[in-house]
Amino acid sequence: MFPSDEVLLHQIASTQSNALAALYDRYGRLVFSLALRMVGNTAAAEEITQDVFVQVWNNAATYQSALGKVTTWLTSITRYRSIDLLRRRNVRPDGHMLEDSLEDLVLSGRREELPEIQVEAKTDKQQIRLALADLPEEQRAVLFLAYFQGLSQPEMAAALNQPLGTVKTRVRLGLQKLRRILEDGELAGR
Amino acid sequence: MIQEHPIDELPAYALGCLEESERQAVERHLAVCAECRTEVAALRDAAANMALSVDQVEPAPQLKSAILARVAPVQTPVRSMNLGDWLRNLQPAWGVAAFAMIVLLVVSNLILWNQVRTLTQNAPVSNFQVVSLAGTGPAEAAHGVMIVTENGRFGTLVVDALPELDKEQQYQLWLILDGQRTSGGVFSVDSWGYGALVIRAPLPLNAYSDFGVTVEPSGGSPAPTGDKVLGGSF
Repeated sequence: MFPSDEVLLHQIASTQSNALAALYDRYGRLVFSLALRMVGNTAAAEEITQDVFVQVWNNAATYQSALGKVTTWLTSITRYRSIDLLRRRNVRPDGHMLEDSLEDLVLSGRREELPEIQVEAKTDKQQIRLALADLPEEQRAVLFLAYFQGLSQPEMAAALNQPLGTVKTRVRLGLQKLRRILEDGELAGR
Repeated sequence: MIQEHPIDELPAYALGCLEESERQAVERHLAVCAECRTEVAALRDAAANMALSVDQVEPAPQLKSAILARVAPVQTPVRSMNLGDWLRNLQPAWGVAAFAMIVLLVVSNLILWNQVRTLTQNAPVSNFQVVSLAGTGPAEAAHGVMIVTENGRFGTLVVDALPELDKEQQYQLWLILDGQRTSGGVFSVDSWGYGALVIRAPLPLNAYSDFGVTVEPSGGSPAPTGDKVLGGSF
């Protein structure tokens, strides 16, 4: 039987490096792919991935399951490090880049853009893509800008040329809806 | 004592897109509200799902070995032997001492882990007052929390991710009232940046408005002299 993520972290906290190797086998791809998605550069994504797992090694004892799943912790560390790198490099999206990436983000999340999903091949990724596709475009856009580009609500309001209150409402409704869809499995149209 | 739940702000907090002042306000509330902490955990888990929507790319195979080399560079030769071989290679006295140390470390790890789990299970701290301390200056990543009894007579400071200091230096807690700084004690942190201090103060702790931690010569100073690394307010 495979040890649970929590057990692996417990072992990592006891400085068992084979447990860190097992955690990497499980989530190295996820961490690397998220970092690559955010910083767009293989070398930087590799550096971030290294830093994430070293941080897990150093701080495994501080993980609290009540504050979220292990994958949530790993992806949070990855995001913070990626956003930090983006800020340090000062490669915040200017208007033009934002327009391109927004279009890319929003269109790529549409339901009609998704490949046909076979019932037996429903993976987490496909479930989540379907859930994201069920969000209104403007809510999906702010979630993507916040999550993958690390923009704050005022930064999004400026970039999207929308009132701050509108952006706040979209963030709130978008994440609440995403949570509801994923928790209840209530994907529309199925 | 718990102010109104900032329920509308929690999704943005979970996504990390609140402005700094809003974030701090939410964190002050979370420190005393188990209900909202649970809500944030669920929202964070929902947001983290977005990472799973990314097309996964296989990293270079050498990345794994690079990580393992960084976390355990000195363990590699040891790992080729079993524990018995390793102990036989040591002088007997050192072998016994090393074995005792290993047992001690394993036991203390288990005890600490249990304490962490118990703390998690006992998360609500409604009879205590909690002050969050945020890292500043050279210790931006650090954070601390002060837990104070309801009557303010007793308090403990716990810190994490503070830089480890030279032997000649220690951290000192300052209790601030009307601009006057009184020492609350000195402490050191381990190589993980973790440390704790049972606070000693002439007045009840809830009489003070602000708290700060500075780097001082070992044993402490009569008044702050070094860099401020943590700060927070009631």
